[in-house]
Amino acid sequence: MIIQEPNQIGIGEVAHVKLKKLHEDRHFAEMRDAYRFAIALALAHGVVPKDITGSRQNIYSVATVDPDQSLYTAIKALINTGDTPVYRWAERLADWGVIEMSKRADEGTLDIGQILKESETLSLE
Amino acid sequence: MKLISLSMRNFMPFRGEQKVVFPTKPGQNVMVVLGNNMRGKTSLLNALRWGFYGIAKGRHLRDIPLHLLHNTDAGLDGDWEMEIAIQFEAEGFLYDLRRRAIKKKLVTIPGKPDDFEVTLQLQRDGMAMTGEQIEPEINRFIPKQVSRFFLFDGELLQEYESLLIEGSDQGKHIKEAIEQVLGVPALINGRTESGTLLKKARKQLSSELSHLKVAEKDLEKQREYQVKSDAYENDLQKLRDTLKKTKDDRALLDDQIEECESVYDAKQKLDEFERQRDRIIKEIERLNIDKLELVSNAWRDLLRPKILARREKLAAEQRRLMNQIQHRTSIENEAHQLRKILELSICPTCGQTVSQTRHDEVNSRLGALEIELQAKGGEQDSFSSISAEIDKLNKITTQEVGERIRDKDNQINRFEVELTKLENDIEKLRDEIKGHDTAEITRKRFIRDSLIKEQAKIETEVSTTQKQLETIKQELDIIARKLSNLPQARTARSSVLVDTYEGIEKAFSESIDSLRKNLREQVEERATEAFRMMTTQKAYSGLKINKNYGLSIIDEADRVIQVRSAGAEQVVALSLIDGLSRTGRSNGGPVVMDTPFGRLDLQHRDNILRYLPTTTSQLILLVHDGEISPKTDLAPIADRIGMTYIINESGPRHSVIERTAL
Amino acid sequence: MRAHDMALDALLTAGKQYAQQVPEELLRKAYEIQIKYQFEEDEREIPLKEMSRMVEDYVNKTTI
Repeated sequence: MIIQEPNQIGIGEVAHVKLKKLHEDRHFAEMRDAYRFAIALALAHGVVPKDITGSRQNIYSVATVDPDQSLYTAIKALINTGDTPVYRWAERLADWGVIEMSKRADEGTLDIGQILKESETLSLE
Repeated sequence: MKLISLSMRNFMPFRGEQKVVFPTKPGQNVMVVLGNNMRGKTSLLNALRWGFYGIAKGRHLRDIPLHLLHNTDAGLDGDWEMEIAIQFEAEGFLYDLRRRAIKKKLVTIPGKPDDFEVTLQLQRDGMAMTGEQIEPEINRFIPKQVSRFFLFDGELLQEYESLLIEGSDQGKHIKEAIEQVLGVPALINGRTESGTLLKKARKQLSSELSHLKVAEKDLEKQREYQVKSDAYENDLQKLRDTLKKTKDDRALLDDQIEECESVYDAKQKLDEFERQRDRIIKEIERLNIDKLELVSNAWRDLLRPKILARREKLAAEQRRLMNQIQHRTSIENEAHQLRKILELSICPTCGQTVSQTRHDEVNSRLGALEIELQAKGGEQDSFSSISAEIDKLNKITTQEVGERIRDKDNQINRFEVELTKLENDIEKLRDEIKGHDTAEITRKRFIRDSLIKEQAKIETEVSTTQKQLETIKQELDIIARKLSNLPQARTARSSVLVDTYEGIEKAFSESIDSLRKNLREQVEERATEAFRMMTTQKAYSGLKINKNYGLSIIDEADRVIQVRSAGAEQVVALSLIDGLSRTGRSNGGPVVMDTPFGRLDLQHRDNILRYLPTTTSQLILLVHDGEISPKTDLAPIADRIGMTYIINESGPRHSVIERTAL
Repeated sequence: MRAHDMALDALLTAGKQYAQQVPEELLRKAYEIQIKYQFEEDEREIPLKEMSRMVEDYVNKTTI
């Protein structure tokens, strides 16, 4: 069965607000950098979110966020995507990741360097 | 004379009622007052000064106006009563002195000395003394004119050291002050007043003789000279007034410039710090930009461990599939060989015809192989699929930016710490220069320099005018003597008056120089005594005094020691002060002084500490914590210390003096 | 000797040498007036008047 991938990719409404704040607070140069990092964070933690929290909204075209399909490859390699399009999985992962980063930022610091260091010791699923 | 107690109420930093008790036991006549700044100690000195004489001295020994002596916090609380009470004992009598200043009723907030009403009371053995008796009584035991030699702070010591520089401006000022102290003013006033009365008497005599023709010419000359003399005296007075104003203006500017200098320095520092701050802000910005660039690709690094693990798993599967494929290929080859044998019935190895038995064997083997081949399948597809996935995963290349991001963060943190420190320093400097106009310094310096020139010019004019006046006075004297020797004059009453005043004026005049000489000799003798006790260099035979009260050290061959160390200067200055103090007072009264130990070596320090308590009834030492270690450095007089106090700053405008132990 | 005693001594010595026409008693009295008002810097009228009165009294006595 051929699964039709969407052209637009988005995130939950709540996470969108937090994504903007992460950019405004200068944790990332561009919002899409934060989007990609959020996806990677969720994958690194082995999180498999069921769905997006709240209502969904498109924010990017897939070509903008994943021009060389690296994200597509990574998600497909690390998650059993089933019948769900890979980029829908990307949205769920981004949603979780953005909320997680926002929580860390609110608690004190969003230390990218430290997160990268921690990822080396996260359990491999 | 001995001090018994000092009570202060709302005086300078001493808020409320605070009391100090002085040591009175013989052999334990030293009091030590510890403090970590100048303010409290100078205020203690001023408490005594104000109590005894109604004056308090600030920087450069200028008077502090009364309304500025009242404790600020007490004023803010509406408590406008200030008092100093001193109990002392002298010639067997017990004295209780109280000087009080209270804000006048109609004044809301005092802004000048006149806004206070000052009362002075003195009781001797419980009996109140009348107003006009008080000052002379105080001056019997603790003469105001000599007070600067036994109530002195470090600034005064430096002034005395400047005396030793012949002809210095400070030196001249000190010389005048010393002469004032040593009783010379009474004789100077006597000369001035008898001179005034003499002039009057001469006028009277001239007027009486004016009808005598024989005196006509001389009287005319006398009138002429008198007019000139009066003119010169007026000029002299004007010049002196102008000189005083010039000196005051200059001293004020000196203070302001000195204050401005530090402001100017602060401004320079501030500018530099602001430049540094801007550089650091730019650097932090640059580092942040670099970091964000690294962060934009950091997501790849985040996935690295999991991607690597996945790839490892796939690679293992790939290897397994490869083995299977190779095994299949070898089976296929073998089957192919067997089919050929069956087809041709010839052995491919030896070329012989295959027997029936062999034929059956081959057939059986081929069957088994074909069954095996049928069971396997799809390894190639799987292998291709896995290889493709591995290729894709290899394309998710990582930048390994983690270490570099952490390095940028560390650099940013270090700069931010530096920035915070700089910003604190900048804030402090801004406060320091607030309200000042740094360009003012140049202008003030210029004005001050021209005032110095002006002062020198006026001093020359004063000197010239004085000489001219002297000449005229001599001429007047000659004429007056001539007139009073006229037979008609000799019996006149006014002639007798003139004669008497001339005598009194002459006596006062001549006594001044004679007194100066005697006093210098006595000061030299006493200063030498003090110096011999305090110096460590026993080869020095004593001190020699010059006409400016400068002292030279003399060696055993009566030669002047030319080069003196800073420590020696201090000891000489102290000797002078001690000599002056003991010349000015018949008995050794109390001495209150800042410890001048900054530049002295241990031996000198010990000598001074051992000597001073022996020449005074009480020695009160004001000690700066930072200069000396009280416990060790005051060891030579430890057994003579009768009382120890400490001044603590309990607020920016409030100090407390309390008993303590060393 | 205290400074002020030295001042009186200097005055009397100078009187003996340079003002023999002036009796010692007069010089002492003049000195006492000066010591009494030695701290008055501005108000010199009073010592001036007292000196004048003292000398006038003396001259009146001696010229009768």
